[in-house]
Amino acid sequence: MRDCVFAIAGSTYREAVRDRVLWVVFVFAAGLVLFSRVLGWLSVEDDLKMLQDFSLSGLNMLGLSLAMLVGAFSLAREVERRTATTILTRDISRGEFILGKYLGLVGVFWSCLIAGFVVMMTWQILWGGGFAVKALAALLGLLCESLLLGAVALFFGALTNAILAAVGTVVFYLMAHSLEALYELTIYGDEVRGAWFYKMAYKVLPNLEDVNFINATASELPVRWDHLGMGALGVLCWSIVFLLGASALFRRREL
Amino acid sequence: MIRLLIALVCIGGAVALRGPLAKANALRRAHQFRYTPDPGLVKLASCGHRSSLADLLWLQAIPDLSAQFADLEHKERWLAGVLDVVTDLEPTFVTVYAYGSAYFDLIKGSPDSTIALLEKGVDRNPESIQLRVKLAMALMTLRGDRAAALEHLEWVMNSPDCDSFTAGYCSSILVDDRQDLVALEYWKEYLDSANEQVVGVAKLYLERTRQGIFMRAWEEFQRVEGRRPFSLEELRDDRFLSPAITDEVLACAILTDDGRLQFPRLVEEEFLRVQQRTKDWCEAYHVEHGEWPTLYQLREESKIPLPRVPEGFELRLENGQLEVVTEGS
Amino acid sequence: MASILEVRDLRKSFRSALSREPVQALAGVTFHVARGECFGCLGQNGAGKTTTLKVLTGQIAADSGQALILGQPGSQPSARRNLGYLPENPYFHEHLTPREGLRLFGRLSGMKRGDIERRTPELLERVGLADAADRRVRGFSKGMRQRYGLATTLLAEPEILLLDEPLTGLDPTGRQLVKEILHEEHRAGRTVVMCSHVLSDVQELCDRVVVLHQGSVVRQGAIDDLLDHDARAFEISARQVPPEIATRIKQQADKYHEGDSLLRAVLPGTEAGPDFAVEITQGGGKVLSLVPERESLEEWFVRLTKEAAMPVEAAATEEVSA
Repeated sequence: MRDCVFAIAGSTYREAVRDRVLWVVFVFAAGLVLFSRVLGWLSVEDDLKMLQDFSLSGLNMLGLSLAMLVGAFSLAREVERRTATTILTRDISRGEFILGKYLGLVGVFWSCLIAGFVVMMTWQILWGGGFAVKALAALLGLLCESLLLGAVALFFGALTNAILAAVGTVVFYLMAHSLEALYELTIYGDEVRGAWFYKMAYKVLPNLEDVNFINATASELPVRWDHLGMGALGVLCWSIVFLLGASALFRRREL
Repeated sequence: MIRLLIALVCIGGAVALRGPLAKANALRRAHQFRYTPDPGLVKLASCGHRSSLADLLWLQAIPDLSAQFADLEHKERWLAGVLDVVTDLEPTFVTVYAYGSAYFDLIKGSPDSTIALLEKGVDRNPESIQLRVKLAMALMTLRGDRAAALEHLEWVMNSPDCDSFTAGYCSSILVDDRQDLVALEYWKEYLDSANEQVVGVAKLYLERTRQGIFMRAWEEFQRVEGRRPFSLEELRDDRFLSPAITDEVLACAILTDDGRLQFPRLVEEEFLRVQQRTKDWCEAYHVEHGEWPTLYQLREESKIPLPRVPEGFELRLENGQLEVVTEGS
Repeated sequence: MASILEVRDLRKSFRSALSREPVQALAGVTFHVARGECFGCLGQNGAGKTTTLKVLTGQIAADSGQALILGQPGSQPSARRNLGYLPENPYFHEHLTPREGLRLFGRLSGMKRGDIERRTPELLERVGLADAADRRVRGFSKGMRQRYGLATTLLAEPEILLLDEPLTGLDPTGRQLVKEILHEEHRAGRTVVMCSHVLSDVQELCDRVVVLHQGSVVRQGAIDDLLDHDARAFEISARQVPPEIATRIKQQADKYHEGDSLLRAVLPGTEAGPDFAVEITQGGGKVLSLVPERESLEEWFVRLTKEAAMPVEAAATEEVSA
């Protein structure tokens, strides 16, 4: 990989980290993690369970917010503001540019998620909870999810403007997290109209539940690391697909 | 300056509206509408956040377990639905099964629902010793199904995670043919509940169970010995009472000098229960009619059986608070 | 001289989402730039200058035709290795400092880290941004951004500089500075191609120009060859002018000023000026200067664009051997 890819990755990371939007989003997520303790006080028992539940959900929302506000806006805004012009008129192909942006965005997402996870674990330990290795599974799942969301955000950013790209990212997130429930409806529920469609969608579309270990962590279900590995592989494959799509779209886009 | 005055006037107006708005909100709260979600759709709507959504629904349900609802049927529908949804969203949420079964048993009074919920919990958490023990005791106490209960208790004792205390407790249940220990321990389980209403009901039923066991032992003594016991200590006998429960059962009764039996704690718990029910009924009456009911209205319109008071005393009802006072005071 | 940059029969139309009729931005543009020359690209707004540059730099694809940089299509990244492009009103990442930005552009150009670190302070000093090296671009004025853009363009010492309105937004000092830099780069052997509306700057800097109008080439060639060399008027300044000569000058002059015994006037035609210069000298006065006024590039351009018929002079372009 040429150095220009890493140069773009570095500048993307630096730009994002210095942007106020990222800090606002991170502070909100950290606030939710801290506030989850208050919610735990409302329950009769299981206060630490609630702390972990809401914190992990908060981190998941952090990942989505970052993909939406930083990822989707990143590429589309570069085109709209024409900062991409000064870069793409150099010795760098559009595919390399997309890859560099992706690596930079993934760096941003992972930094924030890991920092959020550290806040969560520190808070949990302060309130008497322990460090469970299972929690790492949830974190790894979140990191994998951010890989795919970043690729999707770039795909939509290459396709359309910033706002629509953000909306597209959210819609994808909702779809990818709903497939499992839709599939369950066809198996366990009464006769569902269009069941064949849900089953087909479940087989062919990306499923973020493959790397969702939040529920397993908080609810004492055992974690299967081999499942996480398979899920990560699946997510990686889909990420590559979306990146290739982003590259193809961006190659045809007139600046 | 004018802008500041306008701002102050608006703040004052908003604060002044707080009073009437609070009353309007209170009326809405009294209506207590709850939407019971469909389990399938809730899973869909959770978008992968099943645990958190289960927690949120459970947090909403907790205060409703013992809250007074104007429409009781609606409350029951809502709680049955939400417990179903929460346990579907998060099958390993053991607390929900435990508290939910307490609600069904003590507040709603539905043994079938109690056992159904516990069975669901055991089915989805087969390794949970807590739920198996609860289910075993419910099967024995509420349904009298000793065989099914024994099956669960034996599993518990053979489980590698079973601690010595639980193993000893289970084995003593197994050897108690009269199931007295089961009956007492069943209600004692609820005494640790954070729900005050559940604790109150459990205390009453515990005293009633102690009285029931006592009276059975008393009658057995009379049948065997052909006479009434001269003292309570005569009942301290394996033939009438299991050693594990003798002390606490004997402590619930008093044998007066003239040979009368009294159960002061039971009387006290029953009165406390009547007081609580009276208070709840009066508060609902007050919300509906805008005034507190009289003792006469309480007798005629509510279904609460009021206690008989000793001579020289009378019942008094004031602002929903029922008390026993000296006549004429 | 070899062509370093070639545009051959370039055509491009844009179709907006609302209208059915496509807009023809380029209708067969052809020109070439020789190595080492300073070339100007002129035209009114919407003539097709920026579109041509965008095709050359690979930002958009032409419908047909070729745009070659050192013989390679501009759409290929490797073709742009030796190209330094400065767009009009350049935009840069707001949160980076010039030092960080130059590091980025240096890496994009394949420069070594040591070379980037060496060149950065030199360049920033040269464009007058040494004090702002570690300030974020967000706080820069328009002129500062323009100078910073020029620095990014010069960083890798490219063979070709492609500049779209390089003097926009600059104050007089900034304009002077940039013009000096462009002169230096040209003298150093770099090929400079610039688009500008400020024709006096083009006339000052460029050797050859091409004029675009509605997507077509209407004129191209050396500036000296395109302009009319005959003087249209003379500007005379003199001292101690005899009064009666001064009176006659005043009657004939387009512009006349007298004060502190200094007379300055603009006399139309090719003869009045020299004749009066002789008379003043003979009358005992002192002629300080006699400057002919010729048609400027701007005047020529305005005249060109006002003409009703503007035939495309494809045959009149200079043939430059490859």
